[in-house]
Amino acid sequence: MIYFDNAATTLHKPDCVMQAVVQAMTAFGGVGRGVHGASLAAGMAVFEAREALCQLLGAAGPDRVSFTSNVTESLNIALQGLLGPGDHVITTAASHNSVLRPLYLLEQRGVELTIVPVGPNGALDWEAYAQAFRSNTKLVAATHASNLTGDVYDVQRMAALAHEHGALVVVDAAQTAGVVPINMAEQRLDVVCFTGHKALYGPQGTGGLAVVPHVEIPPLKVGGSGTHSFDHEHPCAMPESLEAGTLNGHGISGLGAGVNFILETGVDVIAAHEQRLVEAFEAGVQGIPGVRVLGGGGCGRTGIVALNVGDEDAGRISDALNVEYGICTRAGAHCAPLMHEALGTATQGAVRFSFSYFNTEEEVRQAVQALQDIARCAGAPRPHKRKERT
Amino acid sequence: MTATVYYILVESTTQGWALYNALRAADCACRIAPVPRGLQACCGMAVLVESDAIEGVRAALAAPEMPGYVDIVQMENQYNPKRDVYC
Repeated sequence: MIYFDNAATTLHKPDCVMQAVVQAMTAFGGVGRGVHGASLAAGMAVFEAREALCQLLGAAGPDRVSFTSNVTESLNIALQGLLGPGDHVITTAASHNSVLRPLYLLEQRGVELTIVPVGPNGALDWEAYAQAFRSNTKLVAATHASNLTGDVYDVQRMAALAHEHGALVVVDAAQTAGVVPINMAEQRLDVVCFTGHKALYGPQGTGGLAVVPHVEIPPLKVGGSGTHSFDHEHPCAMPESLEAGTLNGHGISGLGAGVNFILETGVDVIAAHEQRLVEAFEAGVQGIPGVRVLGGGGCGRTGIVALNVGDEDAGRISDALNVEYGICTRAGAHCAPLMHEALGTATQGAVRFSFSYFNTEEEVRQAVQALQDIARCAGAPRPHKRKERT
Repeated sequence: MTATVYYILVESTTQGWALYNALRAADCACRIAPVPRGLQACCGMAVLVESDAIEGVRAALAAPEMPGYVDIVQMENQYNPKRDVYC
């Protein structure tokens, strides 16, 4: 099997991640619950994971990194916590549903929403962005990179403009943490939401958010905290303020190992490897008749290439890659409806290839060969029964 | 344990871990311990320092880069497992 669905979840994890999880499963008690050896082992691992993420993201300190179960939860905490009726929020058409749906929900509760469009190549309309600000603009929810095209957006520029208008910037770094340099202090990002199971090489069920010291986010959920037990209110100090209930210590231990792997390897080294794969793949598919690579309008690129073959349904291409060649890709809408509409692929979908540091150029070569075969046959009757759209 | 111990009280477990790691990095002898309930009702853990190490810890805590803490409380060590064994 060749796995090119790393933008969904990285399959191949560094050995240190597996070892950390196994070690945790055999040694950890509750995180922050009790002060005995098993609990302290868990507590230390979680704290070290906070430190590693703080270093990776340029956050103010480990106490400003809260853990969640995934980036969707992180974004809900940030957006629902910071926005209220009468506030105005800006996001972009590059956003994933993990940003859009919380904002649509908030819109029903009296929050005003502006979605800045992107062009047919995914490029952000900067003029529309600059004009979107209002006197009550509280926040910009900025997608750092499209999960569909891999196009990276200049969040530092977005933040600069937002701060000129007194607005906060919440960054969805689901596709960039670990493969694109992020420094909250230098880029002046107020909140960075990340997920553990993609380019941070952690297990599923891990994620979090890093918050600058001058922003306090009220909790989305409250309950057990291990501290202030006699208070009626949940503790108000980060990181525990955003972490009701026992943390996923086993998973976070693996996440910490994954982040330390990235710090030791270097984000630039990982990014350069993925760029080599992207370039080799694009060069290979460029000459295939009917292949159309999507996007390209960002200020950079993650390890994603999304494409279509003629008018073929993306699901059919992806299925052929899987069944006939053992190549795992992602077809469909990718939870990015507005991006698909901008690219003109809402009906056809797109086939997304997403590479990781553990993929090889030989795997890319095989994928190019497979696409050549499939494109040659595209339009001809195939053994797969096409599912009609309704 | 020495007869007298010192509990460095913290606001949260994360603050406790930050302080413990910083003190260990400064070669200070200390450990994480449960907070006696009579001392504080917020965080269940504290950094425990024995009396022969407290001066070094106080000196380390004066460094500007050291994480914050709530208070340092001196207590007489009232529990001796060996003393309390009856047979």
